[in-house]
Amino acid sequence: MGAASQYGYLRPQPRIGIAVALSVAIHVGVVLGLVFWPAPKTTADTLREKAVITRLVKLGRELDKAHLPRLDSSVPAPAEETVNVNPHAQVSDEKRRKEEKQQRDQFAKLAAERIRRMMAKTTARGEMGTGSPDGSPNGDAAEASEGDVYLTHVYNYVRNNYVVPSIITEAERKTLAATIIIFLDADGKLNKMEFEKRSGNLHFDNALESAVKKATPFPAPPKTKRGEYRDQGIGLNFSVKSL
Amino acid sequence: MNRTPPSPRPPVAVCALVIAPALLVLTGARPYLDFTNPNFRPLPLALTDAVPVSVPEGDAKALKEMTAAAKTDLEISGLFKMLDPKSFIAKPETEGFDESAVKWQEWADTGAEALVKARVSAEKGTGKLSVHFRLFEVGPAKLGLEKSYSVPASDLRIAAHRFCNEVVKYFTGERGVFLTRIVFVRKQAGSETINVIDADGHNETVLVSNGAINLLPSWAPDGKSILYTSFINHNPDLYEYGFSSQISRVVSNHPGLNIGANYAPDGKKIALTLSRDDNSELYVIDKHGKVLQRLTNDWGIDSSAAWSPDGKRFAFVSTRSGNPHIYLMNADGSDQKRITFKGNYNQTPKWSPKGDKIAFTARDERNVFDIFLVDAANGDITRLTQDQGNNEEPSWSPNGRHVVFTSTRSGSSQIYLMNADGQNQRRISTGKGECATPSWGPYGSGTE
Repeated sequence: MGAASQYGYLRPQPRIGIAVALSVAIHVGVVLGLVFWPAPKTTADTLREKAVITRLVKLGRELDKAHLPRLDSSVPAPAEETVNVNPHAQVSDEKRRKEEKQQRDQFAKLAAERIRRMMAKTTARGEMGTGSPDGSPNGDAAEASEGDVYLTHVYNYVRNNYVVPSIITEAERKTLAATIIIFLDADGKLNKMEFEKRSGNLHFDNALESAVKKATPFPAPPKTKRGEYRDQGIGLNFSVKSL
Repeated sequence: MNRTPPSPRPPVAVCALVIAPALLVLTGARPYLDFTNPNFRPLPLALTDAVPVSVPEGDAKALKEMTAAAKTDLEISGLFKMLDPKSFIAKPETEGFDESAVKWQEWADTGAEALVKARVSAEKGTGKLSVHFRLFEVGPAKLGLEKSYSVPASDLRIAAHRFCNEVVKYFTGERGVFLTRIVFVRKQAGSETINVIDADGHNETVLVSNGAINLLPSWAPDGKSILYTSFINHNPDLYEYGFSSQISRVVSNHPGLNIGANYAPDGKKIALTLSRDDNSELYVIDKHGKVLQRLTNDWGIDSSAAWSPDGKRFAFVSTRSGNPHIYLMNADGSDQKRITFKGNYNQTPKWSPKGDKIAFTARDERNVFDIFLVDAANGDITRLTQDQGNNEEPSWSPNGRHVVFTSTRSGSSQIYLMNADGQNQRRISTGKGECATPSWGPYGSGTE
C-alpha cells in the first residue's frame, strides 16, 4: 500500500475541488457582476419600487369624434391665489391648512362612498371591473398592497399642490427635473425632506418644497410601512414635461 | 467505487454570498412617485410707484402713466401676479432704492417674490428725465436687474415698455413684445379703416382711411410696411402701406380677388389668394405683383395661405373636402394634405413663430366660433376659447407667447390678447365701432 492510499485524507478530493472551483467562479462572477452590471438599470428600474398611477378617461359624456374639444370650464381659471398679505397670518394659515385637510379627508370619504355605491350598481350590471372601494379614480390596478394604497394618498396630496411659476421657459419645461425624499413620522407628519437631486432652477426647486409643505400632514402610514417611510423615506420625482 | 455524497456546504455558502448583498440593497429600497404636468402660477410681483427726485410737477401725470404702463405690460406677460399696493407692508416711498435698503422680510411677508422699483430725476440742461428701474428677487434677497433710460416726459411709457421687455427676458430668456404693434380694421360709421395700436392697446392711430372698404392687413417681416386689400378702385386689389412714406402703393390688381396676402419670412415674396382664373386659388407673387407660382389647382376654394416661420411650408384653408378645413403644403405647392378633421368651418390659420402650432378659427357644433391650436406634426387640437361670444382671427405675438384675436364677448367685436395656452384673456381695444382681423407686428414694428 503506497503512501497515497495510506494517507488517503491527504489525497486531493475531486468533489471538494469542484465545489471550491465553483465557489471561486461564482464569487468572481458576483463581484464582476456587481462592478460591471449597468448601474442605472439595476438601481433605478430593478430595485426601485414604483407606484405606477396611470390616467384613465374621466367620467363624462362621450365626445363625438367629429366635434372639436371642449374645455372643462368656460373661462380659463385664474391663477391660484397664493399671496399672503398679512405678516401675522402664519398661525391662521396653519389653521386654514388643517381645515382644508379636514375638508379634503371629508371629501375623500364622500367620494369613496359614492364610488362604492356606483360600483354596487355598475358591478351588478357587469359594467365595471374589480378594484378597491378606496382606490383612486386614477388607478389602474385591480388590487393593491397596503403600501400602494398609502402611496396613492401621498401622490394625490402632493399632486394637488404641484404648482410652479409661469416664468419657467418652454425650453426649461422640457428638461427640468428634481427628486425630493420625504421622511414621515408615524402619524404622517413630515419629519424631514431633502433633495436627492436639485433641478438647478431656484424657482422650480422652491416651488417643489412649497408643494410638499402644503401637502402635509399626510395620513398616518400603515403600521407595516411606518419604519420604512421613517427611515428610507418616499422619493418624489418631479418633472415638468408629460411622460 | 463509492462516491461520497456532495457536500452541501459550498452551495449554501454561495447562496448566502449571492443573496446577502441583494438583500442588503433591497432593504434600502424606497418607493418613488413620479409627478409631471404641474399647474403653473404667475410669480407674485410688487410694483411700486416711481419715486420722483426733482421732477417738475407737470410731469407727475406722465409718471403715473409710466407705472400704469409697466403694470399692464407685466400683467399681459402672463408671468406675474401683480400684488395690490394696499397689501404692501414696506413703505416704498421711504424705503430707499438700494439693495441694502430693501426690507426683504416685509416684502416676503407681503407675498412678493419679485419687486420692481423706479426712480425718476430731471436731467440738467437736456429737458429730459432720467428713469432708473430696478428688479429685485425677494427670495434670494438680491438685485436681479437694473436699467436706466434718458427720455422726455412724453416717452415715459416707452421707458416702461423697454424695462418690461428686459424683465421678461430676465426671467424667460425670450424678448418681450411691449414695443411691438398690432394693425387691424376699425369699422365705424360706414368706413373701414386700417388702424394700429401698441401691444397694450394704447396710441391707436389711423393708417389708411380712404372712404372705401379696407381688409386683412398684415405686416412685412421688417415691420416697416403692411399689406392690405382695398376696394378703393372697386376691385379688391392688394396695396402696401409704408410707415415712413405714409403712402400706399398698388401691389396686385388682377381681376377678381387679391386678398389674404402675407409676406414670406424673408420679405421677398408674397402669398395670396387670386381669383383671376375664376376659382379662388393660392399664388406666390413678387413685391411688384408679378405671379411667380400657382400653388393650388382644384375645384374647392383655397385661401388664407400662412407661411411657416422657416418659409418652407404653408398652412391654408380649402373647401375641397366640402367644408373649409386647414391644410398643409410645401412652399412649392407639393404634398398638400388636410390636417383638421374636426369642426365644420375651420379658417384663418396662423403659424406660430416657434413653428409647432397653428392657431385657427373654428365653428363648433353649437355654431359658435372659437380659437383653437392644431399641432403641425400630429394634428392634435387644443381649444383656447369657449362660451364667451364668437372668438376669431388669431395672430401670434413675435415671441409666440401670446395670441391677439377678436371677440364679441362684450357685445361688439373687440381686440383681445391671451397667453398661448388660452389663459390671461384681456381686452385691449377701446373706442367706438368694431374691430376685425388683427395682425401682430414683428419686433421693430413699434418704437425700439
